[in-house]
Amino acid sequence: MRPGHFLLLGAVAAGLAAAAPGTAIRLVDRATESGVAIRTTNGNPERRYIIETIGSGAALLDYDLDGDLDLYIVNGSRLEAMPQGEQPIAALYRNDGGGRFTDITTGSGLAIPFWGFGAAVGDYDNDGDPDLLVTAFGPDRLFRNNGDGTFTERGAAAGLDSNRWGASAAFFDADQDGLLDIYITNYITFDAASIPPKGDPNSPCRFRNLTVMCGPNGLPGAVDHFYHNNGDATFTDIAAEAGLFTDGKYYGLGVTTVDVDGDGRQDILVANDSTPNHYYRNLGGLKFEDEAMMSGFAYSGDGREQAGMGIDTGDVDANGTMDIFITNFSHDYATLRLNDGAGMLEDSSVRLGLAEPTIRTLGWGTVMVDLENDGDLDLFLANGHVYPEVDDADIGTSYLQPNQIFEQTAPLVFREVTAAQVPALGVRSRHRGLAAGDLNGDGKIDLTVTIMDGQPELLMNESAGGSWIGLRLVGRASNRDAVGARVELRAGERVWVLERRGGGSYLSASSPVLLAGLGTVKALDSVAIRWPSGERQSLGALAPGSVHTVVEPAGAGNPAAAAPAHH
Amino acid sequence: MMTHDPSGPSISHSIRLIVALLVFSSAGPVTTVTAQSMTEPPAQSDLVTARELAARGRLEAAAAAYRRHLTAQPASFEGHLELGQILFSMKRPAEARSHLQRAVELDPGQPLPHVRLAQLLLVTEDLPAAERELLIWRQMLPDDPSVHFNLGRLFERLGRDDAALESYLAFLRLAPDEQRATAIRARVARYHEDAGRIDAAMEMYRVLVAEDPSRSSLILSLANLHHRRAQYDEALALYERVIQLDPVNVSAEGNLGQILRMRGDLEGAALHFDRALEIEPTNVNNLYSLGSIRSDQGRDAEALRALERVVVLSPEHPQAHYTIGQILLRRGDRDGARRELELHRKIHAAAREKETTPAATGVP
Repeated sequence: MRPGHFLLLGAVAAGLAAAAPGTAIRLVDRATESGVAIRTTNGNPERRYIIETIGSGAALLDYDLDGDLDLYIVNGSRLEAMPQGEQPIAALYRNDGGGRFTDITTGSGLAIPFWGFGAAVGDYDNDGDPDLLVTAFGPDRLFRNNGDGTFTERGAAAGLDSNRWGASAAFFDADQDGLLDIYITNYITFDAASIPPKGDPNSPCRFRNLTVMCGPNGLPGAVDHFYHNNGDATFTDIAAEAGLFTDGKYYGLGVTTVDVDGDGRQDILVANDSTPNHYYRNLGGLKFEDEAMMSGFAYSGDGREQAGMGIDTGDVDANGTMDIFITNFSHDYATLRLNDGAGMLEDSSVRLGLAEPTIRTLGWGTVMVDLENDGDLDLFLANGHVYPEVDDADIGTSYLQPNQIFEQTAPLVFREVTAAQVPALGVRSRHRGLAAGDLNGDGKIDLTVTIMDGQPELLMNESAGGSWIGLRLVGRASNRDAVGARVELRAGERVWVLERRGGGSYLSASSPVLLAGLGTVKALDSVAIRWPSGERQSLGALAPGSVHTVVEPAGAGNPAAAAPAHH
Repeated sequence: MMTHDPSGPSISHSIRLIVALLVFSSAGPVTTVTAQSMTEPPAQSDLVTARELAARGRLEAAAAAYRRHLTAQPASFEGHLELGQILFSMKRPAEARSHLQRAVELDPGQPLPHVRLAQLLLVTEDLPAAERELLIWRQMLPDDPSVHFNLGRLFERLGRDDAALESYLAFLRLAPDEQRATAIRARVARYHEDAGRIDAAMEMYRVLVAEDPSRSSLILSLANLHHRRAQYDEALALYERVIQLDPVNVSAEGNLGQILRMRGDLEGAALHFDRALEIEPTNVNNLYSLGSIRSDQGRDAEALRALERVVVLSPEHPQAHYTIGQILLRRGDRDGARRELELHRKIHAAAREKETTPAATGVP
């Protein structure tokens, strides 16, 4: 970003002391005053088992269709039995505006105790309101939005009743039939009885001379779910038929769906922990092939398996293709992969200087967003280690870690924002999930960061930013959420390419609204949309400074798609 | 594993010193010897002769004289002690041990027989017996730095790292300026390092470097610790110092290259890998790193030259196959790429198959 006049304007407008020099980005944790008070439970704090270390996520959704984003915080549990009535439950917060949220979980149908991990949002029944999928240790839960402020759990009825350990999930339309399908990463086939806990004298599990909890290496992986939407509010797992890996050798954590190769179909990108990543290229007809190896996506640039956690995509180099950012373990770097549009997803972290500053941290949630609306994408990483023991070992990392921002200050030039500049980055904690979206309607992307065994951070974006535009897409022949739609904004020579992606980040669901920072641009020349149905729409100029709702033209596209019943 | 390294001065040197003290002092350090007269009985005369011969280095003759003395006086403490020491220096440990043990039996309250016996037992690898004698020695002479030194060596051999460290620290406390202290500090630093006490290790290395700023190996160790803690600025400066002192230090060149690479300074990194390869052209790690950098820079021909050399030297180098595959992909040679990437995959898979027990997560 270019600080100059934004900095001055921001300081005057907010009536606050000027932001620290060098950045216009300003994020302030407003969780406590907002009323988002939940403290999640994510296993025993001693972290004896791996299931107690990966945390849980959050989801942004406008469940009541009042135009603002509400907040769902996933909750975990413990391996030890907990008394009835004391079991943790997730929380749904209604956005009341003015930075205030009200807990409306009770009576919403969501107050069910289970060990939740990830959340995804999608209107799987095309009825016009967002439904909620929560992955779990045990059966995943599908909460159908009843349209009256309540939800009904339909997981088993919908065919989502497997007994695996679900992590991140994505709603997307794999076959462009106008119905949202589901991908769920499953992490480990976990059985506490068969794994020595940390501290067991027979435990062989060590990390850099430290006795730690075991896994994932050496533990059995798990097969991910790929559920095809049958069109009758049920799903069928077709992972094997679709050509996905079903050998259970991978530790899936993060997932996003995005059109990697520009063919109009949503591909699936999976960040696997300690095993090669997957890039399932969508061949159409519900068939996929793994292009990870032949695109460079499977391994780091020097051929190592990385410990992928979170994943996000965006056109960071403004070449019109979706690039990818993946967070990894400590003592390895987070990986920015530039999409050359010709099939290569090249690990560019080393040459872009992103390797060294991400070596010390263990990243989870991540988003590629324009924090100060200067027109380019920045990187945000939610960090925290899995081993409390690292604090005893002087190995260049720590258990509690600060989040990180890498601000793009010039094309593909990243500079780490310091805690002196943004004090919220000085907070060391067990950060895990991360959801991005404009919570207060000011056109800036706010960040919700979950904390293992803690209260989430609500990092409100008070940056002195540039111009912006928002797009809320409503599919008709396409899936109602328009997941898979690609938008091209033009202003003179500048082009922004945005995509309504499925999944992303880590265990979390970000806003469905596409938000683009435009920098100093005051007017757009054109807005073009490629809908998932294949329909192309040109909107001419749209005015920056507000969120536009765009409905897919009637009669468009895919004959396979029934006309959706919208609210 | 500890080598046979007699603690402190050599045994023969010690014996000469002790004998000289016994002969020329009115009182020795651990025992009192009465000045000899010309009218003393034959047995005493043999003892004096033995000491004189020993002092002149005529050990066989001295041993014979001691034996005559012991024939006449079988319970002579001095005779057994000194003969034991002479025999030890003559590399006849079994005989030496019996005489030293006899000396211990004759006067258990005297520390010197315990000292010498402990040293002998250490050298002859009878570690349990050595430990017993060393502990007696320590009980008798707790402020003797040598007992702590020897206990440290013993515990080191027994793999009792904490006890070894404790003994070495006691030695350093008692004899911080002694000749052996520098070596022990380096050893202590290594203990701390291995145990993950990086602060303590770094402190020890800093003391050592301050003592002798020209010891590049110690500076390298300190640099490596900074590197391990991701303190790259400090590590860089120290690696550069190592290279100033030791221009052919491959480790320093290679590690410096790694840091610059992680910082995105690819050309600077390549320079150091080039230098490292001038010194050691077959270093596979540095060859791979250079090839990887050239690949990142898009200088594919140079990259392939380095990487193909890696594969010649180390055919199962997975990363080299991988990076070659990436370059071939960029060049549009998908079949060639597929072959290389498949090799990479197989090597990786074979490594993973060996993982049969739960292990911690993380990168190698």
